[in-house]
Amino acid sequence: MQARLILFISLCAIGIGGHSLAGQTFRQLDSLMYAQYIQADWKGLLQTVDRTEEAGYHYYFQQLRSGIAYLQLQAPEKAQPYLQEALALNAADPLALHYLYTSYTAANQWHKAWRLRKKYSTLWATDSVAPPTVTGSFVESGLKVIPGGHEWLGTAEFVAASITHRLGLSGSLQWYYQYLGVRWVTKEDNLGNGNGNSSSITSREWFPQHQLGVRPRVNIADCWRLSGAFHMLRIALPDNTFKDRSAAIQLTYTMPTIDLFAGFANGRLLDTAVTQLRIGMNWRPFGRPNTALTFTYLPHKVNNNWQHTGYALLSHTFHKTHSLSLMGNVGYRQYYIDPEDYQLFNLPISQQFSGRLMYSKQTDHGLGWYTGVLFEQKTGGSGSFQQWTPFIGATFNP
Amino acid sequence: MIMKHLIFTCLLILGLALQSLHAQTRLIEAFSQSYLLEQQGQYQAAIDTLLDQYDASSYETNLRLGWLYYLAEQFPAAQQYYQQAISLMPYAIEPKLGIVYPLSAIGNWTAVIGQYEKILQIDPHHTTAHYRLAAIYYEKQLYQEALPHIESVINLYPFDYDALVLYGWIQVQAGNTAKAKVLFHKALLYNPEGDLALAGLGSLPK
Repeated sequence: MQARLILFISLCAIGIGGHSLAGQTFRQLDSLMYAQYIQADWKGLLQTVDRTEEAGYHYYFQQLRSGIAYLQLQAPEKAQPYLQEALALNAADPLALHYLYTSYTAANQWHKAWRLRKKYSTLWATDSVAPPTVTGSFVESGLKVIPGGHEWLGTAEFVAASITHRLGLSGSLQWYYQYLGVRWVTKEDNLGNGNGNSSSITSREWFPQHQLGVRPRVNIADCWRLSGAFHMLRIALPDNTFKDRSAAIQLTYTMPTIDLFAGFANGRLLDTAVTQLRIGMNWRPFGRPNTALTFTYLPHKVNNNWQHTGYALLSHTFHKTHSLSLMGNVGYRQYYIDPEDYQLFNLPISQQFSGRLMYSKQTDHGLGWYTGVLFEQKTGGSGSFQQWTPFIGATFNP
Repeated sequence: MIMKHLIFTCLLILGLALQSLHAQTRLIEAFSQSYLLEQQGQYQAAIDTLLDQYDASSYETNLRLGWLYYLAEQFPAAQQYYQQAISLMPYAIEPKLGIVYPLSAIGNWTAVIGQYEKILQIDPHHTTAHYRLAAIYYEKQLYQEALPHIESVINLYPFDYDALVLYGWIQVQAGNTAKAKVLFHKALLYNPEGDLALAGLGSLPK
């Protein structure tokens, strides 16, 4: 009796399955999905996936293509369950692994990305039999034009270059050099010391600054990242040359949508001892990697006096290769550096706001350029100013 | 009275036997027709012919339907019928070798590997299962997992071209160039113009 019942149930199941599949629905849907995949019609593809799921189909290519579609639609966290399922249906598949890893890094889920690499370490190791020593290099140059005589900076030119080495699978080491050329063109004191005395800088010369640095970065455990920096800065001013050094260390705890960080830095700025603490968080609302809100609290100890600075920064990038980004920055400062004798003074709290709108374009060969405008406003404290600054730059990131 | 019962029983047996014979004849005709339609590429018609005579407890019909649905590129349906054949004959290797076709077509390689492993549980020296597992692991760049399977094939068929070439490429990926060279040379003894063996030799450092 039991055997008959099982047979009857099997018969019904096959009968129902056979009936629903008799119209070549699977072939049609899968062909449509593949065509949409080739044509990069990601939204259409996801609709087709819904139809295949409603029809009861569950297979590797369906899951993989869904994951890729969500990645292309800048929704890496939605992509992850599909890519994980693709990996379950096709264990250790390099393609699914690659996209899953990408989805973790795109969502800034470094701990998951790191864990994945750890789990498939043999695979990654064989994938890179001869790992390149240099994993990244970057060159950037730009010009910032400050209109009018309000500012004491006329133009600022800079060149920056960096080389990144891989430290095994869990870290990196970045070397960088930066040159900043500054031209001072007016006498006007715009730093807001408000004492009525004009600064005596009248030179129109270039005053070069050279900075050399090294930045190690290591994933020390799941979710934990330790990063450091050592800088050497040489500033040539009209009557003096400063050689400053500083070192910093920062610990970051990464969660799916929030990073918490705390750091410590010590060094000299214009021959003045500066100790800095850095506490903050980086929040990616709704898990979107292209939007971030960063809050940073920066207590400084300058000449044995503690100063308190806070920043809130909002950045949003709209596109990948043609990037239009908007960045806002709100800060509170309590000190300034006198441009005449380079001493640091305490001030009443001033509010500073800056917003930057930037357009950048990257080419396939690693070349890129950007342009934009920076708006700066300072109110409160001992003086106010408001200014628009255009800038332009080029990048090379092979 | 006894005679009447005897006659009735005989007639019943005869009737059932005739019905069974008739059903067998129709099934043979359906299979015959399905082969013809398959040769003509009319897979759906071949399926329909067998579905007219479908019996869920028939291992042969389920196996044949699995194959025809696979040819018709209706992979989930092919899986269902092959699975039914596997349920009817759990220790048969044949439907397990069959179900891997639709599973491979939709990329469910984890399930494919599972089927080959089940085959190896039944027959530990099944060369096809060993060779295909080695090839799958090679594609996944899991060379250490591929090695024992290809070695099993080579032990049984030391002069098989495909096995020698795959073994050679696994050795290339594992960095054993000397071993790879020997294997590619052996493969060339079997087929002096073998593309894969020549490409393998070409990939080795001089």
